[in-house]
Amino acid sequence: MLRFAYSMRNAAKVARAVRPVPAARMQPVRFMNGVKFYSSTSSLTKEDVLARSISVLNSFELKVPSNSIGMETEFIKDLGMDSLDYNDVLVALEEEFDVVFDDNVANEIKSVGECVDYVLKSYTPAQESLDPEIR
Amino acid sequence: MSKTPVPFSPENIKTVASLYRRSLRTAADWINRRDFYRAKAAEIRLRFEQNRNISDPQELKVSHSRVSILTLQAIIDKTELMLNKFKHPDPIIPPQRPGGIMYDRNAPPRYSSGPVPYSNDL
Repeated sequence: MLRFAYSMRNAAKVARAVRPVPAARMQPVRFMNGVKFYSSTSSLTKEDVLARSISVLNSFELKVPSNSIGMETEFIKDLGMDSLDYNDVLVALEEEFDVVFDDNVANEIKSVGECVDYVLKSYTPAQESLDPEIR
Repeated sequence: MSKTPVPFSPENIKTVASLYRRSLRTAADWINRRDFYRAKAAEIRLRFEQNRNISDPQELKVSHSRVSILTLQAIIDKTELMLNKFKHPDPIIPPQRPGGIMYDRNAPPRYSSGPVPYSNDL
């Protein structure tokens, strides 16, 4: 053991003699510096989606004040929309969240909450690990 | 669809809603200016509103009887035809969705700083 440590010291001496490396120029090795790994969880929260949905709804003519809109608010029953009106809203929400409401789903959606749930389910987050310029 | 649609039935409402959504998306595919798109959306809306109160099922669907096949221009079929005609060859798909440009792709990360320039200190 002692002999081994001694030989190591010698080897270090030899290395230093061959190529002196100033301590200040030594740089720590960083593995995958500045790269975040892909997260599969959606970065949107339910509150975010609801708030943004309400702001989209605000651009339409509503029968009720927007602060009374919640997850249980139904488009046709509570907001007084007809079927075309609420499809307008769905298309506007698609643009807002970059999702596409499938035909079967969109036909069954009745309330704001169902919209929010669908958006949360189908929203694909931009990958954090990627360069925004490449994205 | 070979069935004759029933006016004001839930199925027909769904069919029309689907047509409406598809027309709006098609309009958004073609028009990249927001104000022009709004005008087009209003026009689409008007066209749907004009046919809101049709209660005659024969008018909703082309009747395939020998007599009327050429004369009846039914509204749903006409809309389908128009949607096919104006279908965009390269529609807008959100990048991360299936068919989008980033779907299933893994672009390599770019490093903010390059390799340390080599300098010989000997």
